[in-house]
Amino acid sequence: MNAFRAREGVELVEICGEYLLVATKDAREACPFATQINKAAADYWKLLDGPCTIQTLADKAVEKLGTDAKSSFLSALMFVSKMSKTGYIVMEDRG
Amino acid sequence: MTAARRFFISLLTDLVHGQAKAKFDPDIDWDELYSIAEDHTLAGALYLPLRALSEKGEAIPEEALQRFHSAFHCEIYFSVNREKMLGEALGAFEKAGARAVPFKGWLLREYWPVPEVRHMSDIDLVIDHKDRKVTDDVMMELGYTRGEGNHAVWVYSEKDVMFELHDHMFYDRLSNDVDYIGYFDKVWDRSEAGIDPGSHMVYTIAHMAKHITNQGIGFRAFLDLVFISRDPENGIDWKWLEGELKKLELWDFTRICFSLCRRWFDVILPVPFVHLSKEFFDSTTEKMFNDGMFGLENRQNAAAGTAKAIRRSGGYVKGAIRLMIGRLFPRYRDMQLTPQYKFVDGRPWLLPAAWVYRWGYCIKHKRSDSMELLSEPVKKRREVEEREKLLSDWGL
Repeated sequence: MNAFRAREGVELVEICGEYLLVATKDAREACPFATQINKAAADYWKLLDGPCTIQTLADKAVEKLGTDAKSSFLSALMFVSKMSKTGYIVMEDRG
Repeated sequence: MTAARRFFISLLTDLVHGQAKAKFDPDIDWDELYSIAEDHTLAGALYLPLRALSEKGEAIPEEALQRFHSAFHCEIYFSVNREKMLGEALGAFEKAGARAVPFKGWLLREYWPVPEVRHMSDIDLVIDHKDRKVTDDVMMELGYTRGEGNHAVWVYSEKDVMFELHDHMFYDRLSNDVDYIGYFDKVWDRSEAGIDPGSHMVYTIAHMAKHITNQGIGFRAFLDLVFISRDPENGIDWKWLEGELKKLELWDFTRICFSLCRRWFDVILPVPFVHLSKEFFDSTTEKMFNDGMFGLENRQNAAAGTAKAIRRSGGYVKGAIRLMIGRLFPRYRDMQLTPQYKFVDGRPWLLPAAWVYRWGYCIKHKRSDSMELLSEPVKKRREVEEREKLLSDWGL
């Protein structure tokens, strides 16, 4: 299974109840300058503390967020799909 | 006043009070509202009261709300990037043994209920003049491009963030003879902790006076005054502040500014209220809308420089003659600040040569503009005198 990580320079901020992924430094060339995400996506983003796979991310969600295994895996899959399309997540084998 | 302008002030009031009470005309021109907000660099900030109204059930059109929402995201993007790059720059300066102290917007934003939405076009730092080369080397090493500045301000920019490195906090003259430059030169380096809140408040007011004297100023500056004043932990000794502002001949101006805030935003502030005539309040409010952020949008401000200089001289004819001579033979301190004549910087004996070079340059490239400037005190006496009256009405 492909490993991925959060792109360096992308920061999660919460301002007035809105969660945004903000591109800084070199990340500004690779992804949108700012994208609003929902709380669930923000919770998953906070679990990205190094290279992950979908399964390891889902396992962390079960442990930290208390979600069940099946919905965690589906959520992780959707999250990674969306974040990698926008460039906020980088697949490890493509750098 | 248009419905959009009335609603704009109501939204600022909501922002000040953290409430959702603004009422608007159903026929309001939402494009005009956005344009006003943009001119005053408040579009991102005004998303917050608009969102609150929308959540309360008010009929804010989705398309209009989305425009302000995008502006809100822009402000956050720039804020996050500025914070990161400022941290990097200050760390590098410290490593190189140079001290750089943030002031202006970077300090003012902290008083806002949501600092990220207080627009800043750049980050202002004050440094010791002896650290010019060191700080320049640091900024170039960090990958910034040095831009066009002047003797006192060196500008560094990259894709989204611009720094201004000042070797004086204040380097302008107002329409009086107070030495603001000397006053503020003693202020910024007093403490390792940076500029104290009281001194920065004095600076903020002097800076506003500079803008009113030179061109104009937008609503954001008045919001700064309100947010500073209403912060229970602002650390300001208001009696001390009054004393300093009186010394600097800015107390009357300060009372007028705070009184305008009270009228616009329905706030009680710790500076004694002064009665504002209906004529002054109405004309000032209209001018604020026409001026935009720094008065650059309003052609009425064209005579500002002339009015300022003549006012300092006492008497129109005497002032006009002195001004015309001054424009033909500018002083060293003005020439050294102008990029194309900076060869005189540190070489005052080159001033006569710079004058001759300037006359030739102006005759060749700017003949009609130069003649207009020289004849301005004569041909635009009415505008100049109106401008002088405006300064007087502002307590300046």
